[in-house]
Amino acid sequence: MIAVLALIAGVVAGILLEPTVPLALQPYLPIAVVAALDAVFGGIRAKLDGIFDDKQFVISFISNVLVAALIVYLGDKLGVGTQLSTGVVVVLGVRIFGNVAAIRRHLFRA
Amino acid sequence: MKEHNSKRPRTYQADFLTALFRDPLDPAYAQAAEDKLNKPPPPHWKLLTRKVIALIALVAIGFLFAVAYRQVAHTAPEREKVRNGLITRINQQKERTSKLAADAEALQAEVATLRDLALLDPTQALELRQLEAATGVSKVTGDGLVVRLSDGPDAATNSKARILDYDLQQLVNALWFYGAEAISINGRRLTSVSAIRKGGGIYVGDFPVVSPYEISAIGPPDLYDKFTGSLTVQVYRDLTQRPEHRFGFKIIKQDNLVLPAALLPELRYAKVPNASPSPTPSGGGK
Repeated sequence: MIAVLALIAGVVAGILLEPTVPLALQPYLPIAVVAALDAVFGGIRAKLDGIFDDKQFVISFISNVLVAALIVYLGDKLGVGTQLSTGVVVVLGVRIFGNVAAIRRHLFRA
Repeated sequence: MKEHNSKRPRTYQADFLTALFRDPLDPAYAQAAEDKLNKPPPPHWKLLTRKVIALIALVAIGFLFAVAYRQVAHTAPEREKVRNGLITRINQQKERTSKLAADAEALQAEVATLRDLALLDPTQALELRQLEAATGVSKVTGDGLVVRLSDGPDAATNSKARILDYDLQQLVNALWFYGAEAISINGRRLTSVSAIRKGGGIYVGDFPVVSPYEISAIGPPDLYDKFTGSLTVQVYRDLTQRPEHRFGFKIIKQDNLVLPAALLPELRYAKVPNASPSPTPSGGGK
């Protein structure tokens, strides 16, 4: 419950503060969002599995975002930025779908 | 990855994608849960700190979502704005260009009138006018024909279906040969020195022209018959039937054609005489 409130607080802060993203960071934003989504759904699923751990959650979020950003950065430098971004999105997307399916099984027994 | 015994047997080594599909949850969670069972729980303050950090991470995630959403929502109208700005600028420049062209034409006409006044001999003035019409530096009206030539339907992928500068040259040369007195391509008048050439497209003089090409020619009454009966036209009629070309090609007889004046070419050899008041230029020369 507190977690949901924290998430909402973050969204509200983001809306109220109206931050501008520096141009250099803009390409990483979509990837960061997907990485964050993966961490969130992973966390929810772990919670439902009864094995949620705060430390693992924070580590998975930070490492997801950093690794995703690193891959995109390297890809940009090597000239294959879009392909690598696609790769990251596919891998994280598969994980998100899998976790959402598990969450669904937990919640609806279906 | 470490081996460990949880409730279900896990296989991580098989290959990454299989493992990803089979069990998308970060294995670290299971490992942490297992550790919790085996080890004594960490002190209370440590657990609390972790909880706080996790909450901060969640706030950060929410913040990230909001920022990303705002970014997407903001860039869309931004792009539209830039696009519209560019379109407006293009239109403004177009208007300016046509206004300047009209100005140039008016000024050219004024110059011609003043010069006629300065030239005391009317026959000389008439001769000059005719030379101007022939060289393309004055607007002319008359009867003639229009040749419509366009790229084949698959020109985007098939370079053979594209009209080349050579094609335009052939048709223009044929028109000159059969007595055309004035020719323009897509509204660009040909002068005695304008080239039809290739340069990332086709250029007539200094101006790019694109398909469909419209070659307008003014000439003697028999120009149409002679031109349509010519070998050149025969060749192009043939090319329109070939599957690899399929050019559009049409000749229309048309009266009261108006061909615009070409912009005055840069004078390369002629010079303004040194303030000699007697206006007696030597007769025309191309």
